[in-house]
Amino acid sequence: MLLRKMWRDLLKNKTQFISIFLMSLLGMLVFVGLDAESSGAAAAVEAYYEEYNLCDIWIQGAGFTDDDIRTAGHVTGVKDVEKRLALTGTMDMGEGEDAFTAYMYINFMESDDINSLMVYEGEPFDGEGEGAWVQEWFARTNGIRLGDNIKVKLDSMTINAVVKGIVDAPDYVYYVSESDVMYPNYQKCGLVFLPPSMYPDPSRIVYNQLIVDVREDMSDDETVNTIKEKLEKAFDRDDIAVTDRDQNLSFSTYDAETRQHKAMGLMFAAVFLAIALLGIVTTMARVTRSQRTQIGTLKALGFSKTEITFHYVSYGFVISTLGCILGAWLGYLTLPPWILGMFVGSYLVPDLKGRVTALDIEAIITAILISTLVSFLSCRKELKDPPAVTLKPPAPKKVRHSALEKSRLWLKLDFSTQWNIRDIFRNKLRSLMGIMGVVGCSMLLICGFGCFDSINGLMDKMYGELMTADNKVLLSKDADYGYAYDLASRYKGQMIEELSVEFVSGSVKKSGSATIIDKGNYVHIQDKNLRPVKLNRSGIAMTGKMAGLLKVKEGDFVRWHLVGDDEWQYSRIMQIYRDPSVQGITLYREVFEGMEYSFSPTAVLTNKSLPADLSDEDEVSTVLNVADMKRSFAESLEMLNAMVYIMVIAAVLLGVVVLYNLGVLSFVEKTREVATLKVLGFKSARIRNILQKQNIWLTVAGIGFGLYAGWGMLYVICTTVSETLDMYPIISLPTYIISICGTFLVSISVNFMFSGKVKTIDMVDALKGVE
Amino acid sequence: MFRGKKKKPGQELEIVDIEKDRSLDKVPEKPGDDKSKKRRKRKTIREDNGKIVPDKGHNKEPVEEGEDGHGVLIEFEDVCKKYSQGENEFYALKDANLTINEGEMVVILGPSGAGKSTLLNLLGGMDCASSGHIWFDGDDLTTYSDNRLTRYRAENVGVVFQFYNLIPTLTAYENVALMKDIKDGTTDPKEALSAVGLAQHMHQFPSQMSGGEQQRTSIARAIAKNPKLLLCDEPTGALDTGTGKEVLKLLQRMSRDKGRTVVMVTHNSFFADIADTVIRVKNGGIESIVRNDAPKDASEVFW
Repeated sequence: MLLRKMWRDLLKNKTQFISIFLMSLLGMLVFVGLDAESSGAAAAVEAYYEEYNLCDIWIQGAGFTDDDIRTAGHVTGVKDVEKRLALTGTMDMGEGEDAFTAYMYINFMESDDINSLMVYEGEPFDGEGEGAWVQEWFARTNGIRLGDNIKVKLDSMTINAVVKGIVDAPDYVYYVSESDVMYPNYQKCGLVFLPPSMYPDPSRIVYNQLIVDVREDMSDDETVNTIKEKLEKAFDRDDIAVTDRDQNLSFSTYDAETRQHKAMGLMFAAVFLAIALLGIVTTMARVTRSQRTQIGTLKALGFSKTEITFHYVSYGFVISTLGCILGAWLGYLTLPPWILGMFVGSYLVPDLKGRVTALDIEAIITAILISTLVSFLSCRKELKDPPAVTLKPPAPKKVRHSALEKSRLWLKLDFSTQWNIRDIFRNKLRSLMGIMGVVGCSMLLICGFGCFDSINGLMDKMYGELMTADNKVLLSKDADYGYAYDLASRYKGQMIEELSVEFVSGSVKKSGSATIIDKGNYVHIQDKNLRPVKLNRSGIAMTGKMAGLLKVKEGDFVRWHLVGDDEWQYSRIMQIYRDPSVQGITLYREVFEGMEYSFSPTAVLTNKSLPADLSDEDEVSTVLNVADMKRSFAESLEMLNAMVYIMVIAAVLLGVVVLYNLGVLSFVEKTREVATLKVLGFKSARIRNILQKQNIWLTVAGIGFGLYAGWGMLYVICTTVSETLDMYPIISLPTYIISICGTFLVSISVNFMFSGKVKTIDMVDALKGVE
Repeated sequence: MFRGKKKKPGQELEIVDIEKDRSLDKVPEKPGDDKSKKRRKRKTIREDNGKIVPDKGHNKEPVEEGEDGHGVLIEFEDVCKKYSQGENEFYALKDANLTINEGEMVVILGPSGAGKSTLLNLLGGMDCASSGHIWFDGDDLTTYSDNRLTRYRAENVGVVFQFYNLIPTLTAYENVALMKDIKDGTTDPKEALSAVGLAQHMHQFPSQMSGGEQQRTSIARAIAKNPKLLLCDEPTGALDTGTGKEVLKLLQRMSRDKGRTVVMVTHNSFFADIADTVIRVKNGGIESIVRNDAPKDASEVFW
């Protein structure tokens, strides 16, 4: 019978219990959804890496031979070694108006035992034969089929090959061309694998990469690090860079993505469950308070304290169990397919599907346990007294005057202010819950829209403040200094050289890039507070993010060398600057030449419009138009959009549910007071204003905290994006305005629904005896 | 029985009495050892004969021994209920001594604040005495733990409240069926409701019933568990005369026909006429206990 009583009570207080239910549901939906999605994504890629044997260590350098393979193979723990020649080139795609130049990653290799190709169509890779194996997405979107003849441009040379296979590769689950910045476009950036015989001059092929597979029993992070060190010692060459998976762009980006989703899920869940708990506290306290006499009766009838406690605790238990389990189930059903669907354009991983982990089950159980515990704690108060006491109405709350009420200022406040201040302080928990709801709402709005701002800000910074040229002409290997100089003077351009560099400080080793700039006004740097500063002419400047990774600061020394060159430099960091996308060092040509390097530009920056046929010249690899880059970038933000949608929907739901719940709660509690005010002759409109006033205060307070919290959440998201991206959280004025107004709109419209009921309160009814 | 015996040794009780003596200077005194002697005596009698001789000595009005072989169901022995608020102490009940026989209809009379509700609460195990002993069927309630007291309420006591105290979210039937959760061998809810004449309103919620119907439901709920003791706190207090009389009749029938012990608390002195025993309470003390040799029928009472 008590069970029946519970269901009827739940039904009677349905608004509050529905809101608790919804909060538990949403919390679990997002948490389990994102966790199942990220775990599924991680598991899928793990299986993929396993099956297609992703290498554990990369060795970059110049001129690797079979002797080097043997050297590496002798290191303890190394299972297998292969050599590759990894280059970049281009391919002319499409016809007429749709024509574009695709950026190509080209790999020459003798076999694919390590980093094996996953063949969708055609033959397995044959290192001794001829032909080309093309990446599946690139092939599909560009209409390349088996047996087609493709022309890959490699500097001035052109490779003609017949497509033998449509493939994917475990070391290329994510890759971007230079123009993509962050979000890949696999139609415009391709991947092709070729046997050595396809190299324009096969006898003169020089491999620049060794890929190393470590024995399975030694592939934990620590052992891989020792093997890395041993490999460095074995080669004893200064011109190589030994890196592991964490330093690999493809591996680390995917890894960071899944981890970020998991963190987001946790954050969301924390917010929603905190609110669900607050809901349980306030609702259960109210239910037990209003059922005080019933509790007394049950006790008098002979129900034991345990039975009654169990009865009330089961309210919280049942609701949170229903909410959590349904939420988890819905989360598992909806989010993984949706988000993993968006992975498809960004990451080339087969068999992506959601997966429930032990963590999800633990989270469900924990959430239910906490909810149950909280409902136990909040109803305990009414249960401790003997039935004779509980049967009587509760002793009136002790009214303590706050310091404010004792001060002189208090008397100067008008009635509605006094009334509201008292009401807030006497119902702290309820007020806190209201503030939390508003905080959650404005936080998610700020964070969601802030993501857009930050990405746009990143673009504006990169192509508006740090690099102010309209065009970037990438030079091929055929371009000598004279050509670059001619080009620069013809179009009033600036020559720059971008190189891969390896840094060492203490025991930390990181790869990054070096940008060497010549005279001109297209490249700028900003200090860590994002103020423009002049690059010093006497030494190197390092990005803050790289300095952080190397644990060095301004004035410290760092050892570095160009990849493919064995000359180590030992330089003092003269300046710290920030760059969102490229981590490494920037220095002037004079400084670079002072280190006895020769300056050979890899790109020319210019604002002048360039002839369309410039990219046809052998010396030019690609012409990048900044406006086009920005546009294509904006189009590729699908994943981000989805996240923002989730946040905005969640924000509004959260706000509405919490505030509605709160409205019901306080309205019920205030009915008698409001009726009294009405009897005293207050007009409905005046009472409405009094109620609205409190709501506005709480909303303002909530928004205040929400702005901070939103910034914090955005900060976390920005800083965890990846190792190479230094994103700054940016919140624009429109975002502030939209978020604040949006929160107000939600808060006031919900409150309006309740304050409208003031008119409907029947004075006589409301003031009739209490029970 | 076991718990009652545990506290019996005279030594311990004497200490209690001395403490009591100090705190109750206004109360007429009885020597402490006198009492413990009496108790030992009564105990002996009870064990030997299975028959109980009530403790008469200190009552202003003597109470006769249980009639027709009915024994004593409840005995109060110097029971006090004290409330402390900071330094102030307030006695809701002072040195109450009384006995209630099995099958009796007892009316506790007194003005508001006299201590009759406190008496009822102590009888029903809904509150704990500050000192003294409450014997129920040979067991001392004051020595009971919380759980034991709960079991006592569940098994032995049926309560009828002034404001019915039905669970508003349960129907009449369900309110009575609730008793199945706490005691085995309860009367079928339908039967209990028929006994109070509510068979046709069984599936209504309290809010759909009149006050009299609600009170009758409350009585049905109380009698469903076949309690030894039926406690009624102003059962007619919220009812009009006609309906109130119906309720009284019902209660009297419970006592006369079913042999239940019914204790009713009221401030209405007209009810004294229907009781076998009338206990008058005043200022937290027992004023008088009167045996009524010829109780009136409930239908003859007017107020």
